[in-house]
Order: sequence, then C-alpha cells, then structure tokens
Amino acid sequence: MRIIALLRQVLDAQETVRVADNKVDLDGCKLVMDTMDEYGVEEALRLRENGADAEIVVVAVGPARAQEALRAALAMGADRAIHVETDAALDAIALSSVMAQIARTEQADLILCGGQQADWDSQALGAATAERLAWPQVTWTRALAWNGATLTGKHDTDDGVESFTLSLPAVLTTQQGLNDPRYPTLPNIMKAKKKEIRKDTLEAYNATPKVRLQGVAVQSKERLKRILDGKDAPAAAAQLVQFLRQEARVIQ
Amino acid sequence: MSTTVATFTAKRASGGSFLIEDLRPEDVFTPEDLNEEQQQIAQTTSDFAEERILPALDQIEAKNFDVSRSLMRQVGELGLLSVDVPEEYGGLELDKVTSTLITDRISVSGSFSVTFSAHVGIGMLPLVWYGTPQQKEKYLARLASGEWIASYALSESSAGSDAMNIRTRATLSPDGKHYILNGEKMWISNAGMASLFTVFAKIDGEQFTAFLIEAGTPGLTVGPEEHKLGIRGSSTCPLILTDCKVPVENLLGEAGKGHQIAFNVLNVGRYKLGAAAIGGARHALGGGIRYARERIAFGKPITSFGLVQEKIADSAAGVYAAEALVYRCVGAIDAALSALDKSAPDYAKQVQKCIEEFAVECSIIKFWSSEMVERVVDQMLQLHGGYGYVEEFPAERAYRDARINKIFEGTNEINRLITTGWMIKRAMQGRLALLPAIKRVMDEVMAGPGARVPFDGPLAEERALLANAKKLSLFCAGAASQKFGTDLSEQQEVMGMLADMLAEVLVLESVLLRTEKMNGSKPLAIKLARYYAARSFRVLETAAERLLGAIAEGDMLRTQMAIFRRLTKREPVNSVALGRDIAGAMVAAGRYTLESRTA
Amino acid sequence: MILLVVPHAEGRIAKAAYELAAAARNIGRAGPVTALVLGSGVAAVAAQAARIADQVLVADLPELAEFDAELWSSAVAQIAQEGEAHTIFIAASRDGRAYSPRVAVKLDAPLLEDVLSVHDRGGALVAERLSFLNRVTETIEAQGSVAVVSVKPGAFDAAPPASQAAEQYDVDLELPPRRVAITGKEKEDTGRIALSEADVVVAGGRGVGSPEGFTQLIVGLADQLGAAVGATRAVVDAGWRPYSEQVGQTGKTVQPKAYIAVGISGAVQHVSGMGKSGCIVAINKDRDAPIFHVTDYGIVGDVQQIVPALIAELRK
Repeated sequence: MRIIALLRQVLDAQETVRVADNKVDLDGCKLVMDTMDEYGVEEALRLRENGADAEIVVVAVGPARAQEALRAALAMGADRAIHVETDAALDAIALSSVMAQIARTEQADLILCGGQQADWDSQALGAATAERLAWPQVTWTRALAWNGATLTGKHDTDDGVESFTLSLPAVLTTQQGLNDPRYPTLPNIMKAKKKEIRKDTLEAYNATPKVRLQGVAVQSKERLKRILDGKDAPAAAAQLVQFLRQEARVIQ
Repeated sequence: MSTTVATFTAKRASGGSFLIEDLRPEDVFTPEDLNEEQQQIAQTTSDFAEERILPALDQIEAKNFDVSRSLMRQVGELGLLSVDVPEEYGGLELDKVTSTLITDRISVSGSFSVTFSAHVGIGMLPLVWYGTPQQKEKYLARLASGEWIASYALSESSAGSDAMNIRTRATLSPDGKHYILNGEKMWISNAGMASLFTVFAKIDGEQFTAFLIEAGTPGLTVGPEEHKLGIRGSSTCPLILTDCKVPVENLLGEAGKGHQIAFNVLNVGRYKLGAAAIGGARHALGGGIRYARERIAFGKPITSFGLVQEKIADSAAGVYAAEALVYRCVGAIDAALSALDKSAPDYAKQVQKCIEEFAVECSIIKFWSSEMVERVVDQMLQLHGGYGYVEEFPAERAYRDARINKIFEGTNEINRLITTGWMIKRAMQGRLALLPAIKRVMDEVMAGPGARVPFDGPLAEERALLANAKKLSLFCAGAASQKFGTDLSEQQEVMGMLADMLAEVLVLESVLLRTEKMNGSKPLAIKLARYYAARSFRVLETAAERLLGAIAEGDMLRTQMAIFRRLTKREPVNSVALGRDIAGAMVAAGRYTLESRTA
Repeated sequence: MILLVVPHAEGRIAKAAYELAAAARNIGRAGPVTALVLGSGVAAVAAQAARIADQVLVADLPELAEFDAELWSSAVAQIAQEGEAHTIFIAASRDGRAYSPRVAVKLDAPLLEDVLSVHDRGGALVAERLSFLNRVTETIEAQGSVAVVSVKPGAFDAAPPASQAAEQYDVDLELPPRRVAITGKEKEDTGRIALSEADVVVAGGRGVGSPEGFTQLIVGLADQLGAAVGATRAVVDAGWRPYSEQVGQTGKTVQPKAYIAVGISGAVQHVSGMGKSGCIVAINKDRDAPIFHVTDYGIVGDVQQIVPALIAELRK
C-alpha cells in the first residue's frame, strides 16, 4: 500500500507572531513541521510497524525552506518526499487540487493529514482532498488500526467519540493524542540524506487560489498580570476573591 | 538557517598557529556552516532536552538515578551516544563537530550534562581508542546503547592535578591471570550508576596503566555520594579497591603507557566542556530573559532598565563568542582528521596525535568557557533578584552547577599553564614558528611607530584591535622569554597572564571570522562582535600591563610601556548603545538569538 | 438564494442556527434566506427553523439519522445547485468544518472558513477570521458567484426568531451510500451547564494531581461558582475527565466572562481555546508557566492549599 502524509511547515508554537507588509512575518523565525502533520507521519510509520506493507511518501507544497520539514519526516522514517516548490499562498480548497493530483499519480491508498494546521487554522485540507478524489474521510482520528483489509479506529465528532470502520482508499485527519511522534534518531537522520525529495513546480498542477489574503492584525488583549504570592493561601484567596468581585466584577 | 547541502570543511591549520597566522572567514568552520543533517541532529537533541530532561530535573537533582539511567538509555536509542563509536561496532562514526553540537544542545541541566559527558567522553573514548577487538566486542555496544554507564577513575585524594602521582597499585597474580588492585579513587563521576570503570593504577608502583573493571567485581566498592555544592544530580563517589582481581584481558592499551590515554582523553573532554558551557549559558540566558520580561518594578518590566540590559547583552556576547571559539577549533580538528586514513591499523593513534596538536586550543576553550559561563550564571542570578537566591527558580541551581567547570577536566590554573607551556615547547621544538614571529614583532615595535595598516568593513576597528592584540601577545611572550629564559615555566603568574592574552587572541579572532563570514546578513552579530571585542581587548590589555610590570623596571619598563601604549591605543566604542540594541533583540525574541526582530 | 444548513441536536435546533440566520441577514446579499434541515425525525427542528428563514427545505430521512460528511455534503450541494444558491452558510462546528470543504469542492466555490464576520463588497465576499492558533485576525476576500461560508459559533449575535413561521417544503435527495460505518458511540452528559453557555469556567490541568484532586478542587470550585468545568487535553487523555470538557485547539473554544485555570501550564494549544475570555485567572505552582503571560489575576502557589482556601472564602 502507499500512504501519503501531507505536511505543512509552520511557525513554531513558542515564537511570537509578528506582522509586516500586511501578513505574518516569518523571516528569521523558527519554523517546524506542523505537529498535527507530525502525528500523520508517525501514524503511517506505526501502521507499517504493525504489519501494513506500505511505502510512505510525504508531500509538502511551499517555499524552498519547506524542504526542512520534509527532511525531518524522512528522518523519522518516511521513504521519499515530494516538494511542490512555490512561494504562492494557496487556500486549502486550491491546495487540495494539488494534493489530489499527486495522490492519483502516486496511486495512493491512504492519505493522512493534520486535523488543523497551525498557521491558517484551517481544518479543510483533508476533507477537500477527499472530495476531489471521491474518497471517504474520517476527521479528528484518535486511534487507528489496519487489519489487512479495513481501517478501524475512533474519532471525535460534535457529540463525542465514535468508533468506525472503513475500507481504503480514504483520507484521515489527525489530532493530538493519536500518537507520540518519535524523535528522528541519528542513524535515521543520516539515512535520510540518501532519500529522494522530488521537486515539482506549481505550474504543473493548475491550481488557482480562490481566497485572497487582504491583511492581518495581531490579536492582543492586554492582561493585567496581577500575580499574587500563594504562600499564605487564605490571604491570597481572600485577595483574589476581592479582585474578582470588586474590580473585575465577574463573580457575585 | 543555512540550506547548504554540501559539508563545509575548514582549511587545514595547525594547532597554536592562530597567533602567527591570519585566516580568512572562508577558512574556518562557524555555527552557520552546520549542514542539514547536523541541524537535524541539533534539533533532535534540543527537543529531547526540552521535552524529556527538563521535566525530570527535580528527579535528577534528587539523585533518582533510575531516572538518569532511563534518560541515558533514551539518548542511546536516539544514537546520541554512538557518534564517536566506529561503524563496525554499531556506531555512527560522525565528525567531532556533530558530537560537540550534541553536547552543546543537551546541556540544559548541569547534572545530566556531566552524567552524559562523563559517559560518552572520558567514559567511552579510552575503550574506543585503546580497546582490543575483544574488549570492544564485549563492552562497546552496551555503552553506546546507554544500557551500561561508563565511569573514568583517575583522581585520588592526594593526586588531582598531579595525576602522575597516583598511589593505586596493581600487582600481577602468581598464576599470571589477574592483576590485583589496591587503592582509592576520589571524585569519580557516574560511579553510583556505572557498570564499567576505567581505573588507572601503577603496576608494581611504577607502570602507569589503565584497566577496565566491571561493577560488582569483588574488591571494588563504590563509596558514598559526595554532598556537592552543585551538579547534585550527577553521581560523584570515591572508589575503594581492596585486592580487586581484574583479568589480564582487561588491561587497556599497554602496560606503562596509561598516561597517553589519560592525556589524550582530556583534550577531548576540554573542548566538550566548552560545548557544555555554551549550552548551559544559552539556557541560563533564556531563563533570565523570560523572567526579566515578566518581572515588573517601578511600573515597568525590568528589561526596560539599563543595568539589566547590560547583563543580558554581556551574557549574549559571551555565548556568541563561545560558539565562535568552540566550533572554529573543533572544525579545525575535523579538517585535520579528515586527512587521515580510516582503514589504517593505527588509526586511533593517529586520531589522538591529531587532536593533541590542538592541545592549546582545547585548554583555552576549557578555561575561557568555564569563566564565561560563570559570568553568565552570576549575571542571570542577579537579574532574578531575591528569586535568584531561592530554589524555586532554576537560576540558583545553574549558578551552583557551573562552578565545577573551573575545577574538573584539569583546573583552570593547570590549563593556563598548559596553554602557555605548550606554545613555548612547540616553539622550542621548532614545530611552531613562534620565535621568528616574536622577533619580527620586536623588531617592528622597537623601530618606532609605523604606519597604521588600514582595514575596511563594519569590523575595521576590531580588525585593527586584533592585529595589535597579536602583536602585543607576541611582544609580551618575547619580553617574558628574554627575562626568564627556560625558567619562564616557573613563573606561574606570568604564564597565566600570557595564557589570558593567548585566549583573547583566539576568541577575538574566532568572533571576527564568524561575523565576517555572515557577510552582513545579521546586523545583530556585528553588534555582538563589537561588544565582545571591546571587552576582550580590555582583558588582554590588563594582562599585558600586569605582565610588563612584573618583568621590567626602570628604563626598560618605560620603553616597554611606550610600546604597550602604542599597541593598546584605541577609541572606545559606545558599549552602552551596543548593549541596549543587543538586549533589545534578545528580549524581543525571549531567548538568545541572532535575529534583530523588535517586538 | 442564501442557503443555511440548520444545526440541531437531540431533536432541537441549536443556538448556532440563530447565529447563522443573523449572518445570512447581514451579509448584504439578496435572499431568500433558505434553511435546510437534514436528519431523521426532525419535524420539531423544521418548525423552529421556520422562524429564522424565509423558507425551509426539509429532508427527513432515516438515512440521515447519523451525521456523515459525504452524505451531508452531497445533500447540501444538490440543494444549492437546484436552488441556485449563491451563498451557503454552515455552522463551523467540528462536523460542519468536516463537510463544508466537500461542498465547496463540489460547487467549485471558495470556502470562507470559520469566519467572525462576512459581508458582500461589490460582489466579492470579505470576511474576518482567526489564524495562527487564534493569535491573528485575518481579512480574506473570495471572488466568484458562489461561496461556502462556515461561521464560528458565538461570533454572531443570535437573530431573534420571527413571529411568523415560513413555509416548509420536503425535498428529494439522491444520497450516496454510507462508506464510514459507525460501530459505536460514546456520548458524554455531565448534567452541568455547558462550557459554551457558561459565564464562568473553572478548568484544571495535570497540576491538580489526580482524578480525585480534579473532582475535589475543580468541580468543587465550579460548584461553588455555578461554573462550567473545563479540562486540558492532558487530563482528558489521561482519562480523568470526559472529552466534552476539553478546552483548546483540539477541544472547545470558549469565551466566558471569567476563566479560572488551575494547574494549567498554558501551552499555546490550550490558550488558543480560551484566550479571548473576559478575565483570565491562573493558579499554578510554577512562576515561569506560560499561563501567567495571559492572566489578569494569578496566584503562584500550591493548588492543593489555594483552591480549598478559595472555596472557603467564597462560602463566607
């Protein structure tokens, strides 16, 4: 079977968000593989370790630096990578067209994708790609197993947790808790050096963005940051209650 | 971040040559030259340190060795202990820069850093370099996986700096099958956790030899843990050997040649200490910055105040300089090693000879970095105010932990003596063209003021400082030699002053080369370089002045001081403005950075 | 027409439906505003929907008893195409965000995802939404005659129901087979005020120590304040609390008047789910914990001492 894991390279969660030129400025910031997508790569590796005879291909669409995220995935154990190199900003619906074309060319059986990406906060990529391929989807997967014929697992919905089974091909999106992604070990980092990263241009895929970014502004709510020392618990508690009743007026 | 795919190799330079040669930026290795794999390895190590070591700190400090052992197994699984191990024994056999950067990134905890380094450095290297195939077969894989922890036992209660004076004795048993060891070892790192010890003893009280001894061998007792000022999570115990029977197969290397093992391993330990100091200082600086951003005094975060910014800037410059120094030197070692034939039967021996060439650089790294990190942890503690003095904050632990660095791996006093002593010895042997260089400088300065060599670029002034620093160091070395002749090595204070000067030359040059190599892409690095250069030259100037005062008087002194004044003449930089800019960038990022982002 | 897909649960219309109606009425595009009710046994929902739209289309079919992204997207796309809808509104709940992209692809239309506001500007739609883990507001623009808009729950003020009921029409649908088989469901019903409705939320993280600690401290404090109970991902993963209490990137996003975070470190993924709360209070033993960067009031200390002290103080 061939498993494709989609990756995005995003701002590291610890970095402060800065705006310049009407978009978020990533210059000089630490960029990492989106953790949500990391769960996808890890899950692909686990499916293989648990018996699936799978080739794992990681795919990213993004600027030159996105290669680092692909290398990290290869260093985790993925077999090869495809990098559609572009500086263009595509929305999820447009991007799904690229992903679907790649999935078809690669004759993929399973696509794993982050449930939500940490830059555009979109949950759409997996679903849109599934629609283009006319495949079923499962979103917010929290457990997964392959028994040789069907996928079974659990996922989150509005109501709670559902157990499911479905056949391949399919698109599954991940979430925190699905697994604990492995650190790339040194031997795997060295092995990854020899693994293929195939480069493509966006032009080959004919994808047009449907949504344009007009501008951004950093959300900031100034917080009071009145921090009390809790050594004397009753005193601190009394002080806090007074603040909440009299100053903030949020409790009776 | 660099996206170079090709691996950069530094120009071949010989140890100690920094004083008499001028290299160009493209000749040296800098942290910006790390290739993709090295960057990934750095990332894996940092992620592990942050996600697994930091949360376990309280446990580690409480001497919960199970936790430390578990972490060592985990780093073993990641391959972080296999970097110096040959491929045929399951190792990765990567370059020294890679093993250095692992030590750098893993050093977020003084205690665990020592456990790690004592194991992978002095613990494992004797076996890698001197082990027979049988010995390596038996032990190496288990050490590389972290399943077993190694310990290195040289020091004794009355033999620290003078290691050759150890009293532990080994006698061959009548049937020739064992050596019987008797004696005591002191200050042995990892002893409480180790499964394999490399113990130094004198056969028949004369032949200085190394032995491999497994934990649990009858006659080998691990004494109680020392109650230390710092690195409390690291195991430090005495070792008592009472008629301890060690099979003859476990003699490491050659009888009577154990001192080679001891000295060669120390060189590696010294540059790795530099790496650990970088990691520790960077981590402490980050903690201090984050604290200062939140702490409000007089209605503002304390990062608004000049005296706080100054500490941040000074610490950041120290980290920047340390990175420049360590990666330049280890890169030079790698360049020298890359010329060796790995398949040669005496490869291990050649490796050590190669590293030994850089003994001066290794010693400088050791004493300079340990003093750098001491300054950083002191400044960061001070920045925390009262909270720096209590255990709830990591600042006080970092402060206590750092102190050992000036003591072990050879005290800083010993390392200063080695620095100067080695330079002089090489000069005498004709292996380092120091004497001609000194003569040239003496002739030049005695001839009177000459035309100032013009430098250009944003670091022009600092380049001029460096040129004068080299001249001043050569001049002082020459003057001291003239005064004391072969007795110079007895004049420890003067030897120390010369060592300080040599160190500042090496560090300042490394800083300038690193910064120039960036080609203006990081304006903040230029500021850090200028800030550091000002401090560096002051240290060098003070050492030179003290030295001249100690060796000359009357007219001779006046003549020499005239030369001194000429070579130290400079315009002061605005270190306040530089410091504020540097601190501003660090504070905006919330950690040590080379990016000039403003919040 | 403007199509809005009516969210509902347990036989009743959801609050989000009124928010969708408000968005539809204020977008600046021509109606009629058409509500679509998909489900099984949804007569009551349809009746309520008749008070928020100009007309109601109902597909009350046994095949639609359980949500499925393919079935829902197929149904919505069909109705949209038949009715020549130019704007399709879907509530950006987890399920809504799971199927709205499929609708967008089927209709070859842009998706404006999880918006805070949306208006027609000269034929194009301009919307505001959050990105970078809720740290940035972005303004986006979509061209084209048809658009799919998913609306962030709570972003719009609910439109009041009309006094008159609109016409209802049954619709025929050609539904694809269900390819994801549901073999089990774990619903949680705690009997307390829901997270999304409460004015005050008391939330706990691993710092409370244990499930018993959580009950004693967090639930205890919540009871005293009449508050909802929230939990971090870590606590839910550890099995101490049900998923319905999870706040954060992979849980719920809440905006109560007061959010009291006990024993929570404040990782970005959690903060993204509560960062907009009116007043944030944190209690944690670690002075360095990131949560203190986003608090209005905090106490650094042992939660085991402080929370009981708070409960005692509130009782006075």
